[in-house]
This record gives sequence, C-alpha cells and structure tokens, in this order.
Amino acid sequence: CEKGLDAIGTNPNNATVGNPAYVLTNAQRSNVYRLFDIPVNQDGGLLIVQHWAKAQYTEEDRYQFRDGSYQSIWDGFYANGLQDFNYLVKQGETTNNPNLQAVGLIMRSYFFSVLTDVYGDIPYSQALRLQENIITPKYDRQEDVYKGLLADLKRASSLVDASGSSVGGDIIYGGDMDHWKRFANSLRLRLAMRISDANEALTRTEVAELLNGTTPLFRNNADNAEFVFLAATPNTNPIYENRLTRDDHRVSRSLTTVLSRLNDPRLPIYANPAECAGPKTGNFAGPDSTGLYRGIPNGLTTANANAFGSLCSSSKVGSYFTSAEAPGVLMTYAEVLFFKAEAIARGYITGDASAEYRNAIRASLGQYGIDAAGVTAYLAQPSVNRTITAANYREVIGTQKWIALYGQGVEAWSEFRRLDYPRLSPAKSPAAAAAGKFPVRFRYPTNEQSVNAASRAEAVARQGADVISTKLWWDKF
Amino acid sequence: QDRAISGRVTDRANGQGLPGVTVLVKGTTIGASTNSDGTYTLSVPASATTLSFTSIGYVSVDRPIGTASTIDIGLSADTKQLGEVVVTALGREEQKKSLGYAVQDVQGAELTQARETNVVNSLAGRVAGVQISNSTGAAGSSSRIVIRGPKSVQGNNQPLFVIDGQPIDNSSFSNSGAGGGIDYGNAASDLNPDDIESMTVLKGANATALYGVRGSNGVVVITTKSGRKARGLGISLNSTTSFESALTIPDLQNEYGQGNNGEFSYVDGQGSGVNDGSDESWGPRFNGQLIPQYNSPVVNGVRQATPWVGPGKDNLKKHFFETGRTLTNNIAVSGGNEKAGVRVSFTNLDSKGILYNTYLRRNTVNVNGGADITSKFKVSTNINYSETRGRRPGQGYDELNVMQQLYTWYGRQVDVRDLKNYYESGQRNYNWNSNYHNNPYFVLGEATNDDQRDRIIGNLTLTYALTDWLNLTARTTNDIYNQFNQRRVPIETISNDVQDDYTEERIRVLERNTEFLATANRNLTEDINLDVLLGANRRDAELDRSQIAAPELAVPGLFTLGNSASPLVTGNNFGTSNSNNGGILNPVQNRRVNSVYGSGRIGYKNWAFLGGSYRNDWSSNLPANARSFGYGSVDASVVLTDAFGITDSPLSFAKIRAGIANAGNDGTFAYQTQDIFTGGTAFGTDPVQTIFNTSYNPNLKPENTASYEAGVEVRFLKDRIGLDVTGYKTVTTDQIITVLTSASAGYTSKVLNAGEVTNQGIEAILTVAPFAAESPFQWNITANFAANRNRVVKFDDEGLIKNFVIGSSGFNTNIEARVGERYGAIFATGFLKVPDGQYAGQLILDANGLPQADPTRRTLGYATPDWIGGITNRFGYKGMELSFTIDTRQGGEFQSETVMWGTYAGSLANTLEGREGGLVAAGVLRNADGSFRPNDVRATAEDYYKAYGYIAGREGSVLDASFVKLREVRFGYQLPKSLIEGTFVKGVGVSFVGRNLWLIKSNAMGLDPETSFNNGNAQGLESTQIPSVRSLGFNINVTL
Repeated sequence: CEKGLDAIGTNPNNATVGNPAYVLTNAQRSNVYRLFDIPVNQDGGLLIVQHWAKAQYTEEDRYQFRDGSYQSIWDGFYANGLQDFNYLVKQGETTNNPNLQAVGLIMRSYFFSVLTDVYGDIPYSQALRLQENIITPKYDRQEDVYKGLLADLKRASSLVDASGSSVGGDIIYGGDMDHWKRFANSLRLRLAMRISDANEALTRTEVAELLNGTTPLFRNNADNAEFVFLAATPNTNPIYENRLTRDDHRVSRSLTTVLSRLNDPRLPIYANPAECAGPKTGNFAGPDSTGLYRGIPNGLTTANANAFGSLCSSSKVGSYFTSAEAPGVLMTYAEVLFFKAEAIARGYITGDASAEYRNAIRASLGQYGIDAAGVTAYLAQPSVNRTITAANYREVIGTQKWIALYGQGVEAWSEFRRLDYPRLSPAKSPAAAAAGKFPVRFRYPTNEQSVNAASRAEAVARQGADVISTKLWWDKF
Repeated sequence: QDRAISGRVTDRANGQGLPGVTVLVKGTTIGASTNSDGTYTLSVPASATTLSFTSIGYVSVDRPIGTASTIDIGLSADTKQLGEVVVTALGREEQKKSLGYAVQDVQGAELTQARETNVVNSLAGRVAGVQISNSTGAAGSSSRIVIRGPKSVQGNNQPLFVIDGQPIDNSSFSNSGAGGGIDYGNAASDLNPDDIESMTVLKGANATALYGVRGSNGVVVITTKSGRKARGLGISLNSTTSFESALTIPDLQNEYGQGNNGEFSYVDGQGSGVNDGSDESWGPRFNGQLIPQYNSPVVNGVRQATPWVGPGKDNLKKHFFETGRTLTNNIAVSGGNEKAGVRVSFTNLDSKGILYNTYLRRNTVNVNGGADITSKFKVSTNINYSETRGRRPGQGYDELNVMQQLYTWYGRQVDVRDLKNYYESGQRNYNWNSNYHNNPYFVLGEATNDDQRDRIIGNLTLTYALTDWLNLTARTTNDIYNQFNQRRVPIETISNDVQDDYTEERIRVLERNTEFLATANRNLTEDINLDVLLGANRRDAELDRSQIAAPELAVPGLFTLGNSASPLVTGNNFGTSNSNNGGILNPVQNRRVNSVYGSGRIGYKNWAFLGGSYRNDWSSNLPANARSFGYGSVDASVVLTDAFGITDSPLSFAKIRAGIANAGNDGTFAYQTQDIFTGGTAFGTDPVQTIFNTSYNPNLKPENTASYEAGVEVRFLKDRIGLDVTGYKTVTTDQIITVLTSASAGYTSKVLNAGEVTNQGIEAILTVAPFAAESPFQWNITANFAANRNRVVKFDDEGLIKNFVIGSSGFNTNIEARVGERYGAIFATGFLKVPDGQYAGQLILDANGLPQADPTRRTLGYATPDWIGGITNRFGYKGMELSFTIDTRQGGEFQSETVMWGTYAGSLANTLEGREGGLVAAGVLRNADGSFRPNDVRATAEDYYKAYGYIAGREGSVLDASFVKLREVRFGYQLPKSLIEGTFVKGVGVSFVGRNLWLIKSNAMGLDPETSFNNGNAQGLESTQIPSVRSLGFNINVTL
C-alpha cells in the first residue's frame, strides 16, 4: 500500500537545497530594498528627521505609525534578511569559505544594527535558531547586541582572505574582498561611535584599533557600500516603485530652509522645484511658488495639508532619488570622515577635526557630482567653514551629517537621536503617543505580544514602556 | 366517466379495520380516507388504473383497479418506520433506525422549488447543527458549511460532498479577503438542484469514519435522480424565474455632505477647492445653500454654485443596486423498463447580479443510467457535465470593490444616478472625487473579473451478485475541472497608473477514486442479521495552478498576454495568500491515499443493532514513518418500543443510540515535511533564492478527531410528535497547523502537530403534526436547534504557543484561535478603559475628550455563534402547500470595516449626534493624581467619530452577529387532475418562492450579519460587503 507514495509526496515545485550565490543576491536585493521602503524609511526615518514630509495621508508624519509597518520591518529583516545571511555564514563555515562567512557576517551585522537602532533591545543571541527549537528567543540588552556586533565585525574583517575562495552572487561589491574588509571596519567604526555616550570606554578601545592608521577603511566614494537598483521591476528602487502609484511625499520645509540658508548645491538634487502656485490667502499664503523650493512643514493635519495647497505647489523629492536605478546607500566615505572628525573632537584620537569635517563635506558633495568650483564656494562660507571644538561638534557635525545622510532614513534618524542636531521642531500636530517630542524608537510589532509574549515583556520591563518615546540605551541625551 | 369503488383496509397482523388510510388514484389528488372501521368509497375517473393505499407506519401498497368495484386490502406494518431508509457512507442504504448516530436529510423538491444557485444554501435552517454562511450577495458567491462547529484550527472545516458514492471536490479558489479580491464560489455550487433526489447530512465521525481523512467534518451525501425506477417515457420541465434585490444596506446618514469641518467647495476633486480632495462626509449640512459641486455646470470656465441637497435616503438602495434576475430552465427525460433505465437532463441557469455588469451562467447536462446486464451483473453510471461562466465584482477593502466608496469614503450629497450618466455618456471615469476613487460604473463596467469552469463529474459502477447475500462492486469515479480566470484592470485615473494590466489564472483539479467493495447481508439465524462490507480505495488528488500577469499592456484596452509591453510576471493581481514573490508557492500539488476498510452491523430481532468500522490509510502527505494510520468506530442502537413490544401507547416509537469514533487526517496541504528555498525574478542575470519563511516538519504525524455521541429519538401519538436529541463531543488533537512564530527565530511560521480543539454540543429536532394524517388540512412543524461549545485547549505541549492567527483584516483585526477561548476570537486593539473602581469599564478619554486605544490588544468578540436554529411550518390543503422557514443565529460578533471607516468618514447615521456644537463623550478623564473624573471636555463630532471609529482601535466597529431571518416562504399548487385530464400532460405544479426575505431582527447597523469574504475559516470580518440578496420568484413544473 505504500508503493509510489514517496515519489508523489516529494515537492516538485521548490528546491530543497540552496545555492549560496543565489541566496546572497536575493538577500542583498530584498534587504536593501526594505531599508529604503515605506515602513522604515519613507514613512519612518525620513519623516522623523524631516528630510521629507507628507502632503496627504499625514498620519506617519504626525508620528502615528501603523502596526503593520512595525510588523513588516521586524518580519522582513529577521526572516528574509538575517535568516538568509545567517545561512551564508554557516555555509561559509561548513564549506570552508571564510570569505563567504565574512560577507554573511557583515551583512548580518548591518541589519541587526538597523533593528536594534529602531527597536532597542532585540533578540540577538537566541535569534535565528528555530531549528534548535528556540521558538521564543529572548531579547538581549542593546548594549549586549552592540558588543556582539562589534565582535562579529572584527572577526569578519579578519576572516577576509584575498587569496581564498571567491564569493558568487555579490551584487554590492562583485565579490571584491578588499572592499568587504573596508566595509566591515567602517561599519564597526559607525557602531563604535554610536555608543560613545553610553559606553565611552568601549568606544575608545574600538576607535583606537580602527583609527590607528593601518586598519583599512573607506578611502573614497568608490568604496561606498551601496546597492544599485536596475531599471526593470521588481529590481527597481523602492522610492521609484512607490511613486508609480502614490504621490504622498514631499521634501520637508526643514530641509529646504536649512539648505537654502546654506546655499547648499545639493538642494536641486535633493528636491525638485514646485510646479505651480500655492494658496494666495490663508495660513499658508505666499508668493507664487512655481519654480521655487517649497517644502512642506512636517506633521500637518489632513485639513492643513489640504490647505497648504494643491499637490503641485510643493517640492517633490529630487529626481535623483526617485529614479528606478537610484542607489540604495548602506554607508559612505563621508560618514567615516565625520566619525573621524568627531573622534578627534571627543579626544579619542589626535588630529585635525576641522580638516576631517571639511573632507567629509567634500566627500558628500562629491557623491552628488558637485564640481570643484561649487565645492570651494560652499566650503568658503562662514556658515559651513566652521572650526570643530569639543563644545560645538554635536551642532556642527550634526548639521552637516544630517544633510549628508539625506535619504538614508534609519541612519539619519540614529545620528539625529545621538547628536541631537540640527535643532528642529517636532511635528506640528503630533499624535498623543509621541508626547510632544520626536519619536526615539518604534514599538515592537504586535505579533510579538502573542507569539513571543514573555520575552517581549521581559525586554519592556527592562527597557521601559513599549512606546515611541522610550529612549534607547545609546541615546543618552 | 367516473365510477365508484369501495372496500375495506385492514391490518394484516390482526385483521382489524384501519382508519385514516389515504386512498388515492395514483398520480392524482383524487382520494379519500378510510373510516373508523377501515372502509372507504371513492369515485374514480375512467382513466384511473391504480389505487394507492398509504398510512403512516405501514408499507404503502399500489393495487391495479382493473374492472373491480370492490377492493379490499391488508397492510403490513412497516418495520422500517416511515420508510426511513437513509443513504450512508459509501452510498449504502441503511435503515435509519439501525444507526447509532444522527443523520438528517432534505428531499429534492425542497431544493428545486426554493431554488438557490448555490445548492449548499438550501440546507440553511433545515438541518440541526449545520451552519451555512453565504459570503455575499454577489452572483455565484461561495457558501461555507460547518457541521457541529469548527474542529480544525487551520485546515478545512467543511464536510465532504459525495454524489452517488463519489467524493467530489469542493475547493474554493477565491482570493477575496479583507484587502480585496474575487469570490469565485465553492466548487460544490456546480451541482444542479434539478438532478438531486435527496441530500443526507451525516454529522458525526461515526457516520463518516469510512470516508477516512476527509470525513471528519461530516459528509453531505447526495443521491441523484436516476432513470432506474422509470417505466416508459417520462418528461419533466422545470422553470424558475426569480428577481433579486439588496436585502439590507448600512444605515447611512442623509443630512451632511462631503468635506471637513463643515466646509466644502469643489474645484477639481483633488484638493484645489475647499476640502474637495477629501472623500469624507464632514461637510456642510444640506440646507439648499449654493455650493460649487462636481456636477455643477461650468459657465465660461467658472463652476457655478448649485443647491446643496442630499440625494435622498434610498438613493443607493433604489438606484445603484439593480434588480437581479435568475432564470433556470430544466428539461429531464427518463425512460426505462424492468432491466434498464436512463435519465438525461439539461439545465440552463442565467443569473444577472444586483451589481451592474455582473452575472453567473451555467449549463449542466446530466446522464444517469443503469442496466441489469444479467440477473447477477449490473452496471450503472452517472455523468455530469457543467460549464460555468461568471463575471464577478471585486470584494473587500479595495478600490475595485465599489462598495468601498459608496458605503464609507463617499460624499453623501452625490446622487449615484449622475455617476451612471457620466459613465454612459462617455466621460468614462468622471467622478465626484479624483484623488482616491474611480467612477463606480467604470470599475464595474471595465475592471472585469471573468471566470469559466468546465467540469465533468462521472462514475462507473459494476456490481456482481455472487450469491443472493454477497455482492462485489467495482467503482471508479472522476471529478475533473478546468478553471480559467481573467482579471482586467484598466488605467485608473486616480493613481499614476499609466497602462492597463491583465492577469490570467489557470487551475486544473482532479479527484479520482477507484474502489473495490464486497458487501454481505445475511440472516445468520431467524433473529440475527449480519451486514458486512470490506473495501479498498485509491484516491488521487491533483491540483495545478498558474497565474501570469501582464503588468503593462501596449495597446490600450486589448487584454491579452501577448499585448504585454513588459516581461510577464507570475502572480501579481490575484495575490493569493499561499504565495511567495507574488506567485503560487506550489503550482503542482498531488496527493495519493491508499486505504483498506471494513464495516459491519449486527441486528438482533430488528430492534437491537451493533455497528463498527475500521480503516487504514497510507498517505503521500506524511513522512514514511507516519504514513500508515488506522482508526475506527463503534455504535449501538436499541429501538425500545420494539424491544418491549409497546404498541398501544401514546409512545409510538422510542430509540436510544450511542457511538464512539476516531478519524485520522493527513493535513490540508501537500509537501509540508521538508524545508524549501524559493526563487523569484532574477536580478539582471543573477538568479535569486531565499529560505522560505515557513519551517516545515519532517516529523509530522496524522491528526486525530475522537468523537462521542449519544442520542434518543421518541415519537408520540402515532408519530405526530417527534423529538430527536443528540449530544456529542469531539476532541481534535495533533492538528497539522502552521503556527506563527516570532520572525526573530528565523521563520515567520512553523508547521507542527499542535492544537487540541474540543467541540461539544446538543442538537434537537422537533416535529409536530397538529392534524391527523387523514385530515384534509395538513400542518407540519419542524424545528431544529443546535448549541455548540467550542474551545481551543492547547497548541504545543510546552505551552509556548498561545494563539493561531486564522486570518486578519487589512487594519489589524485578527481572527484567532486562542488557548482557553472559543475558536474565532476577534483579536484587536480595544478602547482604553478603567480597569476597576468607581468608574470600572468606562472609557478613559484623552485631554481632548476623545477615546484612546488600549496599547494591549484583546479579544473583542467571537465569530462563532452560541446557538443556531430554524423552524419550518408547512401547511397543506388538497393540492396546495404553503411553507415558511425562519432561522436564527444567536451570539457571536463580527468586526466591520464598513462601520469603522463609515464612522471615521462620517457617512453612517451613527455620526449625526453632536454635528452641531460637538459632544461631551461618555467616559472619564484622568486627573493628575491618577484618579478619574467624568468627562467634561467637548469634542467636535468629526474628531470624536474619527477616534471612536478608527484611531482608538476596533472596538467601535465590533457588532453583534445575531439575527433572525425569514429564510424562505414557499407556496405551491398542484393543478387538479381534472383540469388536465385527457391531455398528454401528467401533472402541473406552480409555486411562488421567496428566499432571504426579511432580516427580522439584527443589531448590525443595517449590515447583514451573515457575511464574509469567502468560505474559509476566517469568518467574523466584514468590509464594505456586497449586500445579500432578497429573492422572489416563481416556479412551474410540468410532467409529461
């Protein structure tokens, strides 16, 4: 009676073994996509840091984030990101391919850091171990997550073996392991600096290793960790995808104000001019905005957003960012230089903080192809050409970093929380949940309340109420 | 030329006269009843050939008249009592009284006269413990049937359908859900009521253990009409015409129009005017004041202000919903002789929906025949071919469901007739709002969803009588269909969509069973009868399913895949839940189950019975070490009245019965034992793969349902009062379910044997005949009642898993199975309330006097009812019959997105209070010291209802699902024989039928509480439902 049943019961539709190269391609694509998609970026970090604002459906711009967004960020990065990268780490181990192991570790660390910067305490040491029957992973303290990630990145950097086996399917660096080593170290610098207010001793130790002059870091914009999307669906940039059917986002008035004041040459790249006039009467009356950069104040009610004027009367997000093939940027050379400047200003290492700061701005302008004359003119302005001191680095670096991180919603939000500059005003009509302040984290997804209730409860008891106003461990100020 | 016939009817057992025997000229209504001494006289027409004698409790007799003028006759007591033979598992006819479990049947006439296009609906209110839910009023929509409560957390909870011993497929490929999609109906709706002789519902596992893995939810056994009993030629014509209208629509407000803050003025419907981009009805009151509107005339480029008035309360109900019309015409020809017979039937169904440009059409051909090749060797076959064509509306919360705008996001000043005018006059998509909504007629007219299903259900049965007590049967059955769905989405003006898109879906389903049976029925002694069956079956089930979409079409309006301007993609617009990367996870799904089984029943003196069955299955769905599993049943019954010789007593019949059974199940889905990597569209030339989010299980074992039932059946006063009561309990364990896991574990779900669900309940059927059988006036009351208590006992043994998400709305309302609770918990965010003390239970309002959300989600209600019941009254007088059925559901709730958004958007009548001057909401405010005080803050109605309806959670949109419905009224009249005498017509009957006529009682704000998106397990959610239909029609039946 059993004859033939094995054959019928075997799945003819899907592979039961993986190909690490294919898995790497998909994991890079889908996670970079997610990092720039609606929930965490377009309706998340970019609104909170006031790079963008919303012209309609303003709930998120008023800090009313959707339960579904929390869920999709969590589920997406864990089950479709970390799980695949973790598989690559294990494949690297079992097939004796340390380079694959390193790439897996670096990518895994990157997205773990995104998750902890968004939520705070998260499952880390017990995460991704369902096969070992860990169905309800415990949440780790954010400090422990950071310690683990710093160690993982150090190990990844040391695993890189230029003469070792190649890594297939890498669509970020094309398998170039020198780049991966630099990315590992640069990312480690980012994470080390992130915890400088909370565990400065650890920051000092890490930075001493990383900025000792011999550890390879990003050298120029060609080293940047970025992912270039393709022209055809489903491999296009998520902002492009969103604009196919939605037209809700505009640049923030905070962005147009700050960049206009600084005569910043990046403004025409970050924003498009308005295409028609705004209202001539009422609260939002002004001169004909056609051709001008007219950002929208963050956090308007629907009625006020309506009153602000028709959709063509405000500045859309720059075409550079809405094109199908716009890059998804994971980390840049400019960031490394900003961290270097800050490390000097804080006294972790010696050097010329102001020079590193200016180099950082140069790198950022270079990223957008600003010509030499434009760079010189910009840096010549007293408002830009500042001297970095221990007293002002938060403001000076914070402001320029805020500009340089345009579009990188999660990282911009993290650095804005850490440095607390530039000084912006929270949403005009914020939801009650924000307690009148900027959101400093996202809530855990609702499913955790049912599928991992005890672990979540433990984390909430330790970290503070599961609300968007509870500060993360590294966010001391 | 009439002549008189007289005679006396006696009881053969004692020779005494039998009063109240009905004596009829066969085939007519001409007849009489016998007197107290058993005598009768009757005037019969010359054409009369046969007299029939019938009396409850006796075997009916037909007697040729010949030339006789006196006919005396003796009747034998019917040991089968009321001739109650029922068809049970594997198509076997058994005496109802011998069964140790509950069964209930419905006869074909009830199905054809009160016609439903979906035959499953005909069972509503008629069978105790059977809950029918029709999803919506869209033509051809699906129905869900659940017997004795849901047992499976994730798997199928609906019974198996068996036609003449042939299991058929009842899949639903609907993708309609909270977020939109199409309801394509359930596959059993292909059955044609005209070809059905009777339907029997086998409720418990005892009745169904022989069907193996699929029988644990009960079985609906359908017997079709056959030509076997025909003698000579018979032709019958049956024609039904019915008209459908919307039964009920939500309670909309008719005092305020579009806008916000009481202000509105139209410029472009996109925000250039005053709130004219808003699709809410918080605008000015209808006072006839002059306001520029979308349909105001434009003079010299300036839109004129026109009077601001409402279109009237019933604008939608009267003018948007059209009169549906369903024509069903059937012709059946049967013929035969002693040895062979055949029945051929053709039916055409043509149904136009109540929504513009929607329909369902079906042609069915049925051939049913059989012959005795020799005295020992018989052959029979039944072949049913049907072709169904549908054009169906979008459902759920989606712009392609037009009810989304009409019920919720709507300017209540809009007269829907204008929208139709714009569409038909060539301004195809001109609408009152250009931000979010298409013209609803444009959507229905051009975003069409067409489907066609061609299906053959056929079987061939060979029987050989080895001896007079031993039969051998071989049977093969096939159910094959192909379904083809097309979805066209034209350019919508409201989005930046630049090209038309088009999706095709193809589905092939095969269900094949090959069976060998040996049956023996023998009297071992004078008192002991043995009835035994041994069998073996191979079941093959196959499903192929593919979806291909053209995301952008080159030539506008040409909806073909070849016209695609960009690469075709799999999946896309059908958005099935069982998908990955927009496609279908397993396009090919095959399963084979091999089985051997046996059953037997021993009868003692025809009043005590002991039955049992055992079956072993080998399923390809399970891993090799768990593939083989066996289970069985035992039941017993005693007819007390026979056992104790009770004859002269008010108690005419009494029986007790009890049974225990087990049934195994191999799970709903194939390929659940091994983890997989799924692919997708390559990144340029780089192929992609990802670890699938569900962790499968190589250690699966079969599910098990244990059931216990006991019942008693009593009848009094010559069976004029009858009561049949059953108590039962089922325990379903080791359920194969995909539980949600924290994604932080690496997977979002995991397949495991987990879940224990118990159902226990009581069913009762009461029948009363206030008038004696011999009375010319007949009144029969049949009432049924069923209360089921369902409980999710546990999931995993460790107790880590506390809930299972059965389904969810697009706005975070889950339907869950939660440990310790009833199945179908509506789990969502509720209002923040005072937990205890003086103000316990009151809403804690925020500083603006508005309700707030409780950050901890909770169960807000249950989708499963407390009890269901129905009552049918049937009155007969001569050739006339009037019957009506009322049914009810009590208890249970549903969450309504219509109410949620309709409250938020100000379209519903519940948003009128406080429009002028605001309102001080009921609730408390929190003082600085943490204590509470009654609310004294006034909020605007717009702010308040937005918070109440949506922002502060879902509690404001959870409604009571109880209802009382007038399900059916039927009046039938059989033309007197005298009128058609001498013609070739043998009989004419007409009937008038109304179905789903009146929602007598409901607390659901004008919604029909019987609502869902499809016939799946996630009941208890509503989103801008297409209203259920009231149907009124007439039926003519002619026999030639």
